[in-house]
Amino acid sequence: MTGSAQAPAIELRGLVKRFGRKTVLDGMDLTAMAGDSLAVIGTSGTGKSVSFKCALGLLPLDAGTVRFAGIPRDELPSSGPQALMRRSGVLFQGSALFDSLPIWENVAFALFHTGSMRRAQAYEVACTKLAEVGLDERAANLFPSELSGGMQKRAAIARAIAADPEFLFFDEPTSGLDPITAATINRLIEDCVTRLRATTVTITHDLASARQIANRVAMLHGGRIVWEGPVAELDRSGSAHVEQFVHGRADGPVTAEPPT
Amino acid sequence: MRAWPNPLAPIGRVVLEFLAATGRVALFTAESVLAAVRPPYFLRLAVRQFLEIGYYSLPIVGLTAIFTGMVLALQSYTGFSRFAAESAIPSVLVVSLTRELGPVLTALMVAGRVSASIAAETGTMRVTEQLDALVTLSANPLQYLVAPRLLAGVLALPPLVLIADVIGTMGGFLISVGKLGFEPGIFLNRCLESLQTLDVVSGLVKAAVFGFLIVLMGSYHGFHSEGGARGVGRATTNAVMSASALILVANYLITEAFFSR
Ligand SMILES: Nc1ncnc2c1ncn2[C@@H]1O[C@H](COP(=O)(O)OP(=O)(O)OP(=O)(O)O)[C@@H](O)[C@H]1O
Ligand SMILES: [Mg+2]
Repeated sequence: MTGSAQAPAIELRGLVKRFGRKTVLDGMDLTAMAGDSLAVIGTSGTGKSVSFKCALGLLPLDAGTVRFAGIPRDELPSSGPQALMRRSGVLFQGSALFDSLPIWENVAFALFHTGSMRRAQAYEVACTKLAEVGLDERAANLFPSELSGGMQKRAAIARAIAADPEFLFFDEPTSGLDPITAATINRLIEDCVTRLRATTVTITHDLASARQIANRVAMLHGGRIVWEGPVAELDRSGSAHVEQFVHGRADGPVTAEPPT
Repeated sequence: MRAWPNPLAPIGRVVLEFLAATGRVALFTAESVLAAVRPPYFLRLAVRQFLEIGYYSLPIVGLTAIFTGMVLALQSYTGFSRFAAESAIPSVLVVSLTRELGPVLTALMVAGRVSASIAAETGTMRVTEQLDALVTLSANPLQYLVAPRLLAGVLALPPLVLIADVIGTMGGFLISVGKLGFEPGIFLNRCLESLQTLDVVSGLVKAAVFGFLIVLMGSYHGFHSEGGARGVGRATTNAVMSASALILVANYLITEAFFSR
């Protein structure tokens, strides 16, 4: 997991996203090189979740271009192994497990619902993936509502990595978890990054987590990236925004409630 | 410059909003139907939805039908006895049940159950990002969620309506024989004699169309819900209201197409 990356894997250029008269993204540029693990930090409500949904096309953009592995998103095929969604794994902020399906079917969803794997084989794969996130076969047969929040998050991570994606998006993987579970999940993500060699974008408010899992950090504020650099430079960024975030000060260029 | 707002402006806005909504529904319908005819097909889900829509609606549909048949017999007796035309009761009963009351009342009851539950389920999936998650797992939500339900709705309503027709006639039969003094054999004979194929067929066509509308409205409002639990609640209400309204309008149009000449 070094930053000596070759080609850009995920490129966002000039993203603009408005909801009604409110501009959430205002010319956001961001690049993740192949194999990068990029942490995106920013205060609550700045548009971190919106930005990755726009990048994946889950929300329509008002302006801007998105490239994956050098190819504009619109030119990627919509189905088949080269389709963007076949190559991506996503952890949503609220886990977004399908509550009508048991955990193992959630995890194996892409394999046998839309892929070609048989049920029995998909079950095996799901159990393997669940074991990787520290959930056993008992949990595999439960429904999401029968799991705690932390277990749901782990299951959702297992679902995100089930099809060995090339691009990974984690939206706040450790928020709302106790420090020990959070550390376990951090290690898990670190592991995904090294083992799958996936290009990973992790949205987080948790600096300890960012330091552990990322090699680069970008800060989103006011609809743009205000600082980007190697994780080691987080403490000497020279950016007033990052400075304030790192030290958790209420006063500074960043206000907790962005103006609407 | 403009001291007074234009009194026509609100009307124009309402008309525009109505047209826009119609367009959105039409687009959603077209996309859903396209998704339904294209592979992959989720047949297992369609079977589950068939049970959900058809089988589990049987109690409420049966209850509605039997009381409708009973009331219909009582009321037509009141009316027809004034002209000494009581013998027309079986024929009036069976024709109005198969042509109109069976399909419409069944569909309205099922709309209350099924449109609401589809809208609530889909709406919850929308606000908890499960619909987005489907997309990221390479599943088209229209194919995975809407198509199986559309198929199930179109297939489940006709048999439900047939059952409602039979149960409704039985209700009428019970009252006519038990209370109004009809001969059982004569009553049933009259029913069968006056029934024509077109009565039944038009009722079944209506049923299939209503099944489509029920699922479509539930799905449409669920898909477009936003804003948490409140939004889901609103979607549920709108789904039932619009499904019921469309059922009544479609019923008139189909009746007109079959029987006006
Ligand atoms: N569907 C929507 N309609 C209207 N506004 C929206 C919608 N989705 C997001 N927003 C607005 O966009 C802004 C950014 O939201 P977003 O969820 O991306 O924040 P975030 O950076 O992920 O915050 P958090 O860290 O709390 O998750 C918020 O101010 C929110 O009000
Ligand atoms: Mg967020």
